[in-house]
Amino acid sequence: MKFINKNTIKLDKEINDLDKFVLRFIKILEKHADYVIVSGYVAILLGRDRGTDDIDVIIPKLSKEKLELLYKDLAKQGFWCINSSDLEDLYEILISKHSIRFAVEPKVSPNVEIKFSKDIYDQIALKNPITMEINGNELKTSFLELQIAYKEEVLKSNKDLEDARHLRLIAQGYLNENLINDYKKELKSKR
Amino acid sequence: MKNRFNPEEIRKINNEDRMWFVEYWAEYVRTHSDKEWSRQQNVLINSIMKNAKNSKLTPKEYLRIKGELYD
Repeated sequence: MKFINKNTIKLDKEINDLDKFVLRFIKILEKHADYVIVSGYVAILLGRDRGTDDIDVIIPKLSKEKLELLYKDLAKQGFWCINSSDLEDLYEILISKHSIRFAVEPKVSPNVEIKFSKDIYDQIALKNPITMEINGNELKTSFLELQIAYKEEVLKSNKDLEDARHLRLIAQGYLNENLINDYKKELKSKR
Repeated sequence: MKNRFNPEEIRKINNEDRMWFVEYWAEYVRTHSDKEWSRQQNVLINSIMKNAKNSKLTPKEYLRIKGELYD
């Protein structure tokens, strides 16, 4: 694992089945929308020894027409949305700040959980992603300081605190501790 | 007298054990090549993926478990 600069991490890892699933999905998504991967999969990609069956992805708010193009492209390549096949329903779910999930048909898991950007932190994550270079593939994830602050200050479950600890340890010397503390203070004041 | 089976105490010990392993594993990741740690990590992840793919849950059942069934 090489921390090339504050926007790039290079990994020479063996690709697992979860990575293959994510790369397959993202290859389609990125044709239609900007995106950033957040939460558990970021820690897993950087070596955390746990599994997950859902990958959290934030995208900017799309028009209904753009969502339809994305939906059709995903469907053409074997994915289905497990919430509904009705685009009106899906758009309604997304604009009401909930998520929709796509899996490989006819399975429900693993799945990618997509949300529209809903607050300033989602916007910051989208605007300042880390590019993970993985054996010739690229994935955009949230930057680690925001991930750590959010897990330690907002989510706080054992799993999230363990993810944050893992990220802190593997990224020693790369993290901006002041930035983590600033985000934690901000997040605390908004709760 | 202290209860030997105090659930709080057991939870605390369990959490400490888990955090110990997180730290142990992070050190392993830091000190070994990506190929080495990922080979070991992939045994767990591929097994979880296999189970996930074999799940017989319907979308409705899955979403109910996740607390995301809104009708």
